[in-house]
Amino acid sequence: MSTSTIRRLILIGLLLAIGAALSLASPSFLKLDNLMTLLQDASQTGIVAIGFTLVLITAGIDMSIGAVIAVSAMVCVNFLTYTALPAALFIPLSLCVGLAVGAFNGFFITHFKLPEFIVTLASRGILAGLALIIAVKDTDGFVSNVYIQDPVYLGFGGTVGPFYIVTIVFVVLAFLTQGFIKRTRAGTNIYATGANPTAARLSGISTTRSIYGVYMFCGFCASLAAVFLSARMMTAMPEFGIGSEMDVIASVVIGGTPFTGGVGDIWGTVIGTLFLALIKNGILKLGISPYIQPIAIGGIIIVVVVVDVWYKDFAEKLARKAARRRLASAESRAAA
Amino acid sequence: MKLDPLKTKRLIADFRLFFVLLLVMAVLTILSPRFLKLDNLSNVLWSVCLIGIMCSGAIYSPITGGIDLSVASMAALSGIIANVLMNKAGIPWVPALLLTLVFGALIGYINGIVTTRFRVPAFIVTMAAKTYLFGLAMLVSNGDQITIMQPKGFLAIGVGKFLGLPIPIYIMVVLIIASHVLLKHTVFGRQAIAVGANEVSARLSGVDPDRVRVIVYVLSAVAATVAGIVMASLTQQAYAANAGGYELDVITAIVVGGTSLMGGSGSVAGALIGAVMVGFINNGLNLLNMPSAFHPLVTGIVILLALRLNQGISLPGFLKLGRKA
Repeated sequence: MSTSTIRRLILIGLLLAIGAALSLASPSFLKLDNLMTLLQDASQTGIVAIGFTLVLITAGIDMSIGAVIAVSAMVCVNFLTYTALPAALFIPLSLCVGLAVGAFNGFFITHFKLPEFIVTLASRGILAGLALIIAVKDTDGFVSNVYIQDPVYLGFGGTVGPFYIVTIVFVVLAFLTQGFIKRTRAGTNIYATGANPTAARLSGISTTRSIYGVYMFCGFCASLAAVFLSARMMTAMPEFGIGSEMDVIASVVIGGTPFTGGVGDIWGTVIGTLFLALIKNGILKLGISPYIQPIAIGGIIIVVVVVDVWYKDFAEKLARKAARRRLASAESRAAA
Repeated sequence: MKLDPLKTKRLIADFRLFFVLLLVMAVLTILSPRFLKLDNLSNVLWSVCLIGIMCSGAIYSPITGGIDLSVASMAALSGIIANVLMNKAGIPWVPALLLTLVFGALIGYINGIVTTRFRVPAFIVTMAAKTYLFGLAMLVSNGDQITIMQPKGFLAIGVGKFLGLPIPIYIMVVLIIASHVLLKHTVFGRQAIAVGANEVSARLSGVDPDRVRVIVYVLSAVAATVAGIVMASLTQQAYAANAGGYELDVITAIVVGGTSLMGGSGSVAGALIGAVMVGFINNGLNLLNMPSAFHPLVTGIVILLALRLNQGISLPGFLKLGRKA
């Protein structure tokens, strides 16, 4: 068994253990309602985390996802308030916002060769400001609450059977993306770009195209999450999603995608999002102070990363020791 | 006297920033008559002081090729910790503040260890630190805005005056000068630049990059703690969301000052000018009655512009959008 399989089994075991502990501690945890809400939360973060995983595979980072959520939600609300366009038309338009931001990030990263995190941090600032500026204002200039009443739009927050639509979309997106990165040439190019950009370029892969692609996909995912979030809340605020990049980073990191690039897949991210959503739900259900939540998320990222590196060192040491033993026994046999 | 052409070129590059600063001032003076008034300039001074103090420590992480995004949360938390130590635990203010500094150094040490020992990108570690420090600040303060009325010695740091000038200015000047000397005239400063420029060659010439990096994050966190103490004393309150978004301002100041985020070069004096520029820009937006939403927007654009110009490209080259290297 490879280390990543072991890691995944440990995570699933932990998931079940925490779930069991929570269902003992809080009787309302195992209710279908709560479980579906948990899945809904997980899917919300998870949709963004899928795009983010691809960015991490190219050894990049996207800090702007939270702000993309805010801007996309604001664009939707603006269309809703000022135009008579049907939701089926303006929602695809708002998804283009994410694509455009991704292209902007990709342009600055590939063309100007600037560090990814600072480019996306800057675009995060720009977008967070933009979201406030384009927010629907009342006559006094205060941000007004727009209640979404469009049935098509609200449909995005609805359910099919016991499952929320966002959960189904998340699962479908996860399958499609996993298939894409593992089974298509473009997917392999993304891995190659992250593993060794120079080697990838020299073997004729357009790393520029891969980088544009992943940032645009990541922006698209964030916009998609924005539509589901606003439909669920039945309103949209310019603060939507700001700061949610920490949740996404935590999910992906728990899932085992390293920051070094070239490694990672979607299933790890799916498990990671479930894990994080479970912990957040647990904090809520146990009635612990909500201020613990940022501590938990920040702490989890650091602990997981530290344990990962420690475990990798440990596994390497074991492998070295085994190799040495095999060598020694072979030598003794040769001597005999 | 013969002029060294390289030195002249560098001097011009150093002063280019100063001209941009004067230009910003001139534009603001024309746009708003209130800009050059004394009370307005003293407003600018406070934010410049805080950003400058943070920059004096935070500049070292970009020089070594890293970044510290946790400075704002660290500053907010240190104000709250100082208040708890002084007013709840009843420790006299001098040892209490020293303890706060030790706490800051400890957080910086953790950041440094996780970055170096476990090879995690600095922005992830410090972003996570930013998140958990904010949570810690909320937890300790219970989410309240705490007003600090005691002790007098502590409050004097912010509002006191020495020779007619407020004490925070002295703190900033001393820290900036110390930071400059540390960078340009000590072994450690040279080592930091060497690590940022080329880690392998630095290691081969006997520098321990990990040790340098750990010290860098300790410096950054301690400077942020000092800024937090000054801020708490100045505003007479401690609040978890204080200084929110300052990390972007600090990065802007550092980048505008000509420090490359790729590591290997940096200028403390530039960062100070950058801090003044950030102060002016924020103040200008206020004076022009722009909504606060423009603040992050403008900061983001300034960062991207400054980074592009730092790549050694003149303005015409920038407008051509550059050619592929």
